[in-house]
Amino acid sequence: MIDLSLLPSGIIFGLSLGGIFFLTTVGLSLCFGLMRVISLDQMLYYALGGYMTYTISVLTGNLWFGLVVGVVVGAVAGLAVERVVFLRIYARDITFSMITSFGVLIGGVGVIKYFWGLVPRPVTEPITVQVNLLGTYIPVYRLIIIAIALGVYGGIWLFLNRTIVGKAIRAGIENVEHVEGLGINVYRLFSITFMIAGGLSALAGGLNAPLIMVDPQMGLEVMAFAFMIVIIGGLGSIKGTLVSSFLVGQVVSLGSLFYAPLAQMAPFAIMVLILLLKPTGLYGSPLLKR
Amino acid sequence: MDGRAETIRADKVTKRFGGLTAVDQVSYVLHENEVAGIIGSNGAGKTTFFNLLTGYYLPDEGTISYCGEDVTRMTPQQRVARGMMRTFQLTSTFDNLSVVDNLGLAYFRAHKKSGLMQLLFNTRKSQRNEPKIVQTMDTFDLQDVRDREVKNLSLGEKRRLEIAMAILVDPKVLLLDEPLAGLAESEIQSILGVLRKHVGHQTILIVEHKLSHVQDFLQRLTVMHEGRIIADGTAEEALRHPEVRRSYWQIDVTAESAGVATP
Repeated sequence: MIDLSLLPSGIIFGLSLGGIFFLTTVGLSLCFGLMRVISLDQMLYYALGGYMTYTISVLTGNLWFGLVVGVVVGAVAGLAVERVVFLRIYARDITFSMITSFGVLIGGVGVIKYFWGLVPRPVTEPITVQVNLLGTYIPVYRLIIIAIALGVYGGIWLFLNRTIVGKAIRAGIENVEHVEGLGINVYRLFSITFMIAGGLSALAGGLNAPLIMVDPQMGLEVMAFAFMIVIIGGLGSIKGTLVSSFLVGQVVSLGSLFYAPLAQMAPFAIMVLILLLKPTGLYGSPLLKR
Repeated sequence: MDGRAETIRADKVTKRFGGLTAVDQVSYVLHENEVAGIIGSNGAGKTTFFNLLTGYYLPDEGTISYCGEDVTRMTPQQRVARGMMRTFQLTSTFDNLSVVDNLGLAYFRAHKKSGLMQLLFNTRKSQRNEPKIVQTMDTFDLQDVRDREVKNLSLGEKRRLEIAMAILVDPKVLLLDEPLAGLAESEIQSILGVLRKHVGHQTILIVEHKLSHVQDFLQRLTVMHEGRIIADGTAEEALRHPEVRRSYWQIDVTAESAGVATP
């Protein structure tokens, strides 16, 4: 039977995992919402963020600096792929973007293998302090991840609801042609969105690096979860992505407390259940065709 | 026509869809500050012609120029940047944004000289107090619903908002695609009332299905039929034209009120 004393740490672990999930998938969700593309290359920026954090923290001994560099590299890589690849395929069917970006991801993984090799690399945790929470010791680093994820959610919310560019993006999620009709350059909005998405995916990979070991496959490993989260939350909904990220994080974390194999299987069961009850996901509007 | 500067000129423009010639060798000139209308029955080609002017279709033949510049191959967005602003038959407002945010989008695009920082850190409050936006909300009677999400507005309010957005972009030419369709009489009057305030200092081109609504409002009327312009002049002149009289019963059932015999 489950040891109740493990519950608080299980919940915190679930929340921090959820935070990582949120940062990885929010870009996917935004890109789908605005551009109607499935940007699997986000998983590449996640891995890139992890590796940049690894390299910089080995070189300078400072993980936070590595995170910042990772975010910049992720944003620039996202922009470059958008300009070179997505710009040519916006008009095509959505499955086309999925296959193409999967190709980018696989190619990128190859590049990572070329530079960093196949061996997983450990990243030192920057903060090893633990705090006592209800009798169990919780690593502060996990709490920081949760705080960063919530902070990013708040930042995105402010960006989308309080700035003109953000409002233009929300308007574009509704109808891109009409935004164009106002004379707004939607391709600039697309670029901005891809940069934000790439940067956040890299942030997720960097934050996760000390908790896992960075390895070339790390992006592919998180992909199934990312898909699931976007679908559970509802395509294109930021709030839905946040809620479902934390939900899946908890299911994985608490599920493994009950019965270890559950951790891998339970999220899929949840997804099936939610799709049966609400086919558009928790916060999704009916899938609009552009 | 009367020495006023040209804004839009279409020169022998043709558009075909498969075997159907929707717009057939149409030439048309719109002058500055003119309030003009194009009417025609369904399938007369007026909306296709409108889409050609605004860049949503590419003509198969002919050229379109704007203030002397050839814009035939320009995107809608480039045309908006030059001062051609259109509305859509189905309203193109944004459902999930509030009225004031919709207006903000239109306004800040038109004043894009504002720096990046201003775009990013423009507060809700400063937008709401932007004199131009406040003034437009007054003119279009949208003050009461300013914070409401557009999906909760009536069709008449949405149309008013859409025209308000178009005017906020500060266009040289305002192109309205059936702005009155589906509206109740009182809403039609309120929209025409607002538009009248712009007569004389704004070039307006309206495409309408029903003539009765806009007849008094228009200075110039063009009638399209089967892809061609069959009459062009003042409303009375256009309606007296023999070809119009022959096909007019298809255009408007209220033709008798215009003093035209229906066959």
